[in-house]
Amino acid sequence: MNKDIEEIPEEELITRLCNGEESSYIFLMRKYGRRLYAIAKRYTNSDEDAKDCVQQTYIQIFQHINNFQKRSSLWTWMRRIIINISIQTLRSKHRSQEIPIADLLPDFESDNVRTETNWQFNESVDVIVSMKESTEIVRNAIYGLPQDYRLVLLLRDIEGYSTDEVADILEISISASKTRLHRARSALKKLLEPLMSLKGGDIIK
Amino acid sequence: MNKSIRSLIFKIPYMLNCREFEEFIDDYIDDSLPASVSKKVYLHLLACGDCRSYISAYKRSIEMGKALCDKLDSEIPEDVPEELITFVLENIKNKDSKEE
Repeated sequence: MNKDIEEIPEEELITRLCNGEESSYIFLMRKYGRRLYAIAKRYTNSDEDAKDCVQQTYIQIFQHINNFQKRSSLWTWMRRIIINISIQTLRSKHRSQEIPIADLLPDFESDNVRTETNWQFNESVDVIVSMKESTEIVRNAIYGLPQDYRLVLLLRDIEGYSTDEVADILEISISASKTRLHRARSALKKLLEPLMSLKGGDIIK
Repeated sequence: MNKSIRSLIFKIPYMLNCREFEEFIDDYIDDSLPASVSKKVYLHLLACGDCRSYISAYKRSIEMGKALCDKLDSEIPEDVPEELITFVLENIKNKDSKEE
């Protein structure tokens, strides 16, 4: 029975889901569970919350599959649901310690001129991020950003949503979506300066 | 180019100073500069090594963020926990039976 479920077209999978076939539910959970979990973890930064979000997402998907309009792929629809649920979960929690954004924005001299280090990049980004100490610095930088800014950064730069889509997801204006992205990226850059010129053998102070 | 020379250049009409240039950084790196400002932005970058350095570090920090997320994603176990599947199925069944 249903040996071929992995090969059926999405259209038919949706029909089976609409018919409430348990095997199609299980298939969908096995196929996308890990990817959904990764997204939820990124927003909630907690294993337990991420697992709850995945459960809630699947329950919502199975309950509302009949309303799925097929204007997008099934995955696009599912991804949007888990992002909404993860953001709701995050907002319901007590906020962790955040660095005020104003402290992290670029400085200019009085004549509006920038003074910047002439960076020399010695290692690839992948090498830097694979080093244990720097992994923690990047993680702390992202999760130290104020929540409203971190959300825009994750939605734009990691998920790849457009400025307009981000505005829609967060229910903010398009100009706020743009401004927050720029501030978030500027703040991240400032927090990651200690890693810019790192060499493989360096110990970060 | 030292700071005082840059400061003078940025006073030339049509030239953006660094603070004005700042507003266009995201459009520049996302390759979506409005045509009306594109030349001004490139002209500023040509004249300003500090903004060129700034942009290279700014782009690199975005890449680091992406690389971190890829790394964290890759650490997630392959298999979906059976208890999660059971929980969802039970929940759906309960809801169905309530509706009937």
